[in-house]
Amino acid sequence: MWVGIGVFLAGGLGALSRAGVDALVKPWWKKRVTEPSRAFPASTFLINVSGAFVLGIVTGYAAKNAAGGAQDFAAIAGVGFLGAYTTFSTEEWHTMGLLRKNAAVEAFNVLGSLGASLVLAAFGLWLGGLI
Amino acid sequence: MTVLAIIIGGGIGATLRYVLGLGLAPPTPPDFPWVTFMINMVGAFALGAVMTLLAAHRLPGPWGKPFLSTGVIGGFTTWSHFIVEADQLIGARHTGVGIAYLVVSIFGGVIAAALGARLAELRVGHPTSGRA
Repeated sequence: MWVGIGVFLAGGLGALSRAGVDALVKPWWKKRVTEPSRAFPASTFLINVSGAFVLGIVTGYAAKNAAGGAQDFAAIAGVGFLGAYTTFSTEEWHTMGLLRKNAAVEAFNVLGSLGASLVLAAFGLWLGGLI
Repeated sequence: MTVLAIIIGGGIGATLRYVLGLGLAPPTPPDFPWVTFMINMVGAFALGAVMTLLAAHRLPGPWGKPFLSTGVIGGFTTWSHFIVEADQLIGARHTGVGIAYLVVSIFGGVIAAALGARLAELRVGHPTSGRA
């Protein structure tokens, strides 16, 4: 029950952090960058790659530590905060929009997001196991 | 109020995902991570519909976007778990399942978002999708 409340609060903060990063990065990117790179969803990219890296650490840590405390931490920080901070639906929405307008930026976005996330999360899983 | 809408929406989305994961007992490798997969497909479909309805002013803008799109749906779907699950599959030498999970999720998500947008377009009666 307490873990569930923790997941709710952490999820709320995770979504708010995503909105915060979005509000900071999006205008900065639109101002600094010209077309066609402007279409690249830089804030979602940054949010998803950083969140995947940190979830790797949390998951690696929880896998090595069977104690209840570590599992509760993984539920609140991992499922709650990081799960809500990162977003799959927005990524797919951008992908759909870019497919119609800018296929090159789209290919870079999908492959870049997947590649960077997979490599950094694997590194995080290894790092978390060391803690 | 926007901040409160995002926090409550994100809390609802994350808790729903947490409860589904507990209730359905998420499969461990080498199984296909279908709980996260279904969550992400449902969320992509819902976001496609909501963004289209927002663009057509069929949802209350000030609350609809922070609460529904950024909060509930953004908090419900997850990129980080999708990636870590794929990494775990590949790390456990179930590379084929891992790559299939990545490819099916990415393409399935785009199709789901397009279907959601199309359904909402039919509902509002004119094309609006693609504009966020």
